[in-house]
Amino acid sequence: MGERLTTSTLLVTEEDEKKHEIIRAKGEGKELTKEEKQRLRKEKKQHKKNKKDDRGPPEKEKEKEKASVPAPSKPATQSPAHKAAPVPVNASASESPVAAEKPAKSKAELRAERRARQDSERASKQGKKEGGQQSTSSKPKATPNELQPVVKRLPDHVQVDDPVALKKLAKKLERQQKSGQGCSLNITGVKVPLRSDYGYKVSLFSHLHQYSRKNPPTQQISIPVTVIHPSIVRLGLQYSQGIIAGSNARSVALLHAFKQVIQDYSTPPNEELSRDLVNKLSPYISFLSQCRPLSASMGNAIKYIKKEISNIPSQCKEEEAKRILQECIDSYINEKIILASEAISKYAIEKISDGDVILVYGCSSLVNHILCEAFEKQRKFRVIVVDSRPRLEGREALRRLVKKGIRCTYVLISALSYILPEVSKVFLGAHALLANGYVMSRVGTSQIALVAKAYNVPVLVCCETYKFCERVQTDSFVSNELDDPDDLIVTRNGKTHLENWQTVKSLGLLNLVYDVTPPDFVDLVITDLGMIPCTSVPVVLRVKNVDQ
Amino acid sequence: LDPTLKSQIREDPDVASAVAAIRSLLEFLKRDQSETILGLRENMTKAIQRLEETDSSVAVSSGGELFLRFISLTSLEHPDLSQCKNVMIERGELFLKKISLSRGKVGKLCHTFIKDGAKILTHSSSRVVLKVLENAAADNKRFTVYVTESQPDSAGKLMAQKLHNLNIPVTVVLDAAVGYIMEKVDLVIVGAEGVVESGGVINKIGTYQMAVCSKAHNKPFYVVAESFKFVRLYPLNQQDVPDRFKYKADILKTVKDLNQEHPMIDYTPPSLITLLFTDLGVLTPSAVSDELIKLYL
Repeated sequence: MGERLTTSTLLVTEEDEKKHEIIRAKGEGKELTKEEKQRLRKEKKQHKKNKKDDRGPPEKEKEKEKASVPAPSKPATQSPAHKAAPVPVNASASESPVAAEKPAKSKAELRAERRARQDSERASKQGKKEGGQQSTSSKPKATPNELQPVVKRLPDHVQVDDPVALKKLAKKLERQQKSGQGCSLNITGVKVPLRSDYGYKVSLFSHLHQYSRKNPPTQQISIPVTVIHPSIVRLGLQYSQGIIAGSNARSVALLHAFKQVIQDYSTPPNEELSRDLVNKLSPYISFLSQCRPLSASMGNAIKYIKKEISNIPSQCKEEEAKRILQECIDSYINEKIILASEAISKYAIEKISDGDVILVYGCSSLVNHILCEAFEKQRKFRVIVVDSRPRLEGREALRRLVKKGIRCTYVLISALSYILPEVSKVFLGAHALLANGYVMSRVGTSQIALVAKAYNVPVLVCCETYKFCERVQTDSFVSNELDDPDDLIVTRNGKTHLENWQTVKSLGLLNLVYDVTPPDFVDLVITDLGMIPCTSVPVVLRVKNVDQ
Repeated sequence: LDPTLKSQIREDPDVASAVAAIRSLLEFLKRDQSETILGLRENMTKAIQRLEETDSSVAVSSGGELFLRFISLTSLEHPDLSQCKNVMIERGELFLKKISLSRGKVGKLCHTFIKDGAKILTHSSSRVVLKVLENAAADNKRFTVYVTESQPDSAGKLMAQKLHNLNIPVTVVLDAAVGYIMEKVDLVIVGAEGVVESGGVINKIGTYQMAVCSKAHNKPFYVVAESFKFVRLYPLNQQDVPDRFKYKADILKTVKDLNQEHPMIDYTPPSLITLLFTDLGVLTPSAVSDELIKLYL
């Protein structure tokens, strides 16, 4: 705040006008000062928009930041802060024409304009209030129009090409780390590490993070125990190095790490467990999402844990509360993952008849479980495992199935149209099922579904209900994950052609992780609630919400 | 149990086979002698199985299951078994009354979709479609009907006779002439033996063909069905329909090699169906799953 106040002295012309407005405002009470602030903000925004379009939104964001800071004690200190806000963004030269323009419009006109803008601003403020004090509101990328009533927030990990959003993220991590520790320690250098992007990103995906596996998040800095629990650090490293992969595995590992965290947690003297523990978990979650973006299943698991923690009654003793939470986590894993896979196998086995040729893609723990169960129940079938670079996960699936004794064939995805005429059914796993019926899964899945549809082969997706998420997505660009581009480099006969790909300015390596499949290509979704068509996912979500 | 069902069907040929089955189930319930609720349920399940053996249509199976669910979906906390039984019998009567009215509801919903001067194509003999056409005729609409012959039992000729009695101009066409006649008709209305979870229907063999032709000609394909025909099957293709529905009950019992027999029903996938008219309202195929979840869960 200090530096901004000093720069405010440059704007003498603005000050006069504002002062008389403020004096007027002071008389009318605090509410009006907020309105005043909004009005002033909007005016400035309007003018800025006319000058430089792309500078407009970040400025709005900075001013919103001010709005979420607790109510000002003196309106006077606020107004110079307002004026100061545009300064770092805009050259001071633009300020004077701004000031000169104002007297040109009649006061009544301006007031009418302001009223209209106020109402929409107030509505959007209501929408933003639930953001809370800890996180500053992220700037909405797609809505520069300030008259939109509810502004949507995009998650941080899909705003990588916006430098202001990155700065905000860094500040947020710092702040989280501080609040987790308490005010007594002086921490300046140590914070939750903000991983830096690696390599050139293809422009269509420049809004996503791209990290290198050779730079793990914990390399440069040491993270003391008081900042992040060691089991979370270990988990984060396992995620970023790809040691734990697959959405079920990641969720289960996350829940086990949280169990350890809860075990080692002790309530600070003047805090309540239900509130403090949730705050403690937030920096961990930020750290994990820095290591690898959270999956939909992990997101649902975290929501569940936070809900359970905040539902702990305040008179509950610490030991008792911890025990309850451990039990909750255990029952979640048991019900939603283990028992769900049993139920899904039961339904899926009905669909496997003798003589079937089943095609599977990659390594889905659920599909492998189904096939092993069906084999144990003496069904006669053979499996074709389709695999793709660079992950080559199909080899793991192949290993597991062959160990059971199932007859398997192994092809790469480029041979798909060759092998499909032999196939009678396709079984696919899913990473998440979106609310509009789209299936988000490993990259290559939508290709398989498309070709299978063309050959009239039924496509069955197997997915537990805890992976259903409320998001809506129709393409694979908006929200995805970029893996290490160096994985695409292959060395054959000692020659690596792409070794110096970074030096070639026009070359970009793209290693996508997920893609979305439209519901028209999927014939059946098998969940623990039964067999449903792909379009009924919102029904399940509705039923689940009613249950909760 | 068997004779009761047969007598029910004989005395009122106009009633749906599922309704007759449920009536006989209700009679069975009234006469049942078991001591515990669990025993009662087991007896009911066995009875439904016996009924399926007599008449292997999908509707009987779905109607039976829904009946069982409906009567037990109430608090059976009474200490006295006979009280529980009375509650169940009451609910059974209620269920029966509801489903007897369902055909009328469907007829009322659907007849407004038939415009004056329309040419309608229908398949085989369905009492629900008959009701719909009856309602439309009563509404002073002029339309002509083409009915397929529907071998092997020539049920289409029966339908033509009934329509003739209602003074509706009707023509019988060969099953093979569906593609030929499709360009002349404005809409296709068929009944259903069962409505499956995906929103598709199971109906007399030849329906799938008609649906494919109507899709190719961009004609609307409507299905009329009562809600007790909703069944918890999910076939992926024609082969996936269980054998016990495909063939008539007596054939299932006597014949060794089913590959030599002709199936009596086929499955029409939901992508070919425009709308479904049920007593729960006018539904798109994707809404059927929603309704099923509500009915069964």
